[in-house]
Amino acid sequence: MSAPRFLALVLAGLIALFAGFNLFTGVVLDSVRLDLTERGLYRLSPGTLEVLERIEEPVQLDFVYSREEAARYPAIRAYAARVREMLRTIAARSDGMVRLDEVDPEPFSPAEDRAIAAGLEPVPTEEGGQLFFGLIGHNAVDDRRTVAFFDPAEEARLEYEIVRLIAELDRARTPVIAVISSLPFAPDAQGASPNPVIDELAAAYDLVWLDETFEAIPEADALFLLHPPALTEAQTYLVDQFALRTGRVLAALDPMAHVALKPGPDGLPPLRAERDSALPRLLPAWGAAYDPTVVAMDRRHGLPVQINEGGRTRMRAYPLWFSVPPGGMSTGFPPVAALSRGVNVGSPGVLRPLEGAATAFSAILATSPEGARLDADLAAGSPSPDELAAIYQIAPDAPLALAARLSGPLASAFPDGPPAGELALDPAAHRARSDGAAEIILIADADLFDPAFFINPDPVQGDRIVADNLALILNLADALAGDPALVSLRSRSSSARPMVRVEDLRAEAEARYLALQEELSAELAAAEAELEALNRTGAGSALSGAAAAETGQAEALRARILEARERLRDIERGFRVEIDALERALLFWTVWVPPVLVLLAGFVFLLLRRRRPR
Amino acid sequence: MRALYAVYRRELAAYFETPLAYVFLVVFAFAAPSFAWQVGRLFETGRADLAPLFDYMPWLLLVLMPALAMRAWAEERDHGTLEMLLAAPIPLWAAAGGKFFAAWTVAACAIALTAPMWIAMNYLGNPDNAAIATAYIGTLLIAGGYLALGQALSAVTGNQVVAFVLGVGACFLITVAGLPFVLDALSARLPGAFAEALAELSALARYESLRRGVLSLADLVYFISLMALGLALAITLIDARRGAGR
Repeated sequence: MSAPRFLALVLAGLIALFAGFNLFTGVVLDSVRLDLTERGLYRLSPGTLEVLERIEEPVQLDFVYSREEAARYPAIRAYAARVREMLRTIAARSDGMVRLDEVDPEPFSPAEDRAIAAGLEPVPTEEGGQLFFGLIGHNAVDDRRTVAFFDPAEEARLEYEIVRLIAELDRARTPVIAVISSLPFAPDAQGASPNPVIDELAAAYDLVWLDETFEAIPEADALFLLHPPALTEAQTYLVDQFALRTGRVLAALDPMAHVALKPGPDGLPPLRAERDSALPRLLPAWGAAYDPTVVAMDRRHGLPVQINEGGRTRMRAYPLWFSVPPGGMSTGFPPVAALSRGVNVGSPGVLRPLEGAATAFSAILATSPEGARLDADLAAGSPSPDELAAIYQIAPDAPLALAARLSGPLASAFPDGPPAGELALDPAAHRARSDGAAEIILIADADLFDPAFFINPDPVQGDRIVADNLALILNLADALAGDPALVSLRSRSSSARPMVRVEDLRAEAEARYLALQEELSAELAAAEAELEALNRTGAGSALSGAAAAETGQAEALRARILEARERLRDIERGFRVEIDALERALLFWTVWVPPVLVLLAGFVFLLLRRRRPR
Repeated sequence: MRALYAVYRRELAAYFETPLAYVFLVVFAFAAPSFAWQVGRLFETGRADLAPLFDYMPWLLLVLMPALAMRAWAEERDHGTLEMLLAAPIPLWAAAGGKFFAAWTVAACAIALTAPMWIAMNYLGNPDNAAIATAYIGTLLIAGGYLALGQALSAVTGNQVVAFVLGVGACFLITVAGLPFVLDALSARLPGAFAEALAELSALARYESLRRGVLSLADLVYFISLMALGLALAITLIDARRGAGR
């Protein structure tokens, strides 16, 4: 063999050895991974692994992502990399049961048509394009589930969203939840408005809405009573029997439900809106006591509200609307133990255990030791923070339970059988006791369903979830009716580390801007009104023969208006000045300083070398 | 080992005794952060991490590492010093290793010059420093892979410009191997398994996990074997030349 041919053969052999070796180690060593991120972002939760382990039929995931369109949006690009990594990790850990493909839907391509048909929601870009960033999942029988759009603000729920989709594709049927509610949450309810909690529940479960005249409760895995209307004897009996039969009930009761009285699209509260709700006959049978005329407050964790004091707008903590931080939650109950951000509530009620009950009462949300009680009628009058402070008296039995879990055997609230009345109920089907241990969740607040309590709307950055209300309800739903494996997934921390300093600067500038703007706008409006009044009387014009003093006053007003307008423009210009200055400083230190230092070092070193005697 | 260290010291001194290393360091120290700030729009992401820096790092390295490696053997051949080196009582692997580690040290210095950005992120927020440190390890490894390939191609020719162009070409191929446009084009003509295998061998794909803070043994093995491949190719090519000259 000639030398060049031999050389070529050796080189080709080396390359083939490299390729073969790495293809082999890629398969053998792929699972040996060390997630060095501080929060273990790429370590899958035990719940995910549990879902992946029990998949029986292969699941196909199509990650639909408009790579080119997204290239112009750094935040989306960064988040897409995180989503891709998470999907790859899940696929890698599924033993081949989850197959992953990435689809880049070109404009007017069949891939784009398929993405739209599947229900993905493209976002229009500034250039007129469409940005797809979602997920389509199929199973062997061609059931389909989608994540319409991966919202970077929802990063903490990413793993949950993906795993829920896989779990839903894998399960044989969708669990059913029957819902009784006086809130305008049902899709066809009068004044219904979109509610993220209900939307998420509806995405994961078959929700069967019962109207207030219901005469039967259908077969369901769980029953949700969300601020229920006053039930008739027969309806109460149906709920009682459902609880005994399935043992799975969630009841959200409220002595002062702001969400129920919220004006609908017509500007009015819904017809027959109920301020308070109760289950007077059922709760004692379940082992809990609750007074619908008393609300709880907590001055230690009051939420900030904007109030007008002496004509000035201020932020004050409001004890009637407060947050239950992780410290106020049960650590032994996974649906709440996993929450990290706290749950926001609005004038909730107080629950307590009934002595001698067969069920075990455990508080899952509670006030701080500074919790206090207040009459619900007083709370309905929207007292100011000062008024509340004046009458605030820490309850001797604080912390007060705001939500509780009742577990154990249940006895019927109707020991003598079904009530006589309008419904023909079969006494033969009557149950006096539950078969096994029931699991009843009581929450003494309906306002925690209100997005205003847990979503911070931001038209620029996108809405931000600021409390775990949504996660709490979904966790409870999973614990009662769905897949408990998903519970641990919902509250994983986000990988996004915000530029805190920039955010602080922005917030400070905004606060300054708002305060000054309000001040100047008021000054401007007052000056304009004054000037208009002068003009109306003709005193502001020299032509009208007005006194020199009045003309001078009008001139001064015009000058004030001009000055106020100019200052307003200055504020608008100055809004980003500090942030821009920070960016310029960082550019200087990171882009210009290192090369200049290297240049200087090089000059000095080469100069010294030349001077050194040889 | 002593021979390897001797070559390493000689090569490192050669870099810093001429303006070459300084020019390289200045270009790198300016280009890497500029890409992150201007192209990656680091500030606009609002996130205290260095993702935009590490996003562009492989592309910057695939141009700059061959520039650093091109002189390794081509210069020796051009200046006629290769024969002297080969005649010296130094094993060939020590010569190749010494040259490689010297260039890798310069590359490490260049990468270290982006540290002010790391400090800046800590000033702006609370970045995941463990993840950033892992990404730096990944950057160092991909730089080593590119340098080794560049060095192998520097052994092919006596012309440094040709060595540079060949090096960039090879680094480009191994970088883009896993990108969708290559795989789409290939899977249309070749069996899907081939495209999948090629994607497995892409340096970019292997760098991806490290960039996010995940250290995989397979990726580590890949980069070490890529460096070993580069050095083995260089040694084979130089050895063949020695044999031919004999």
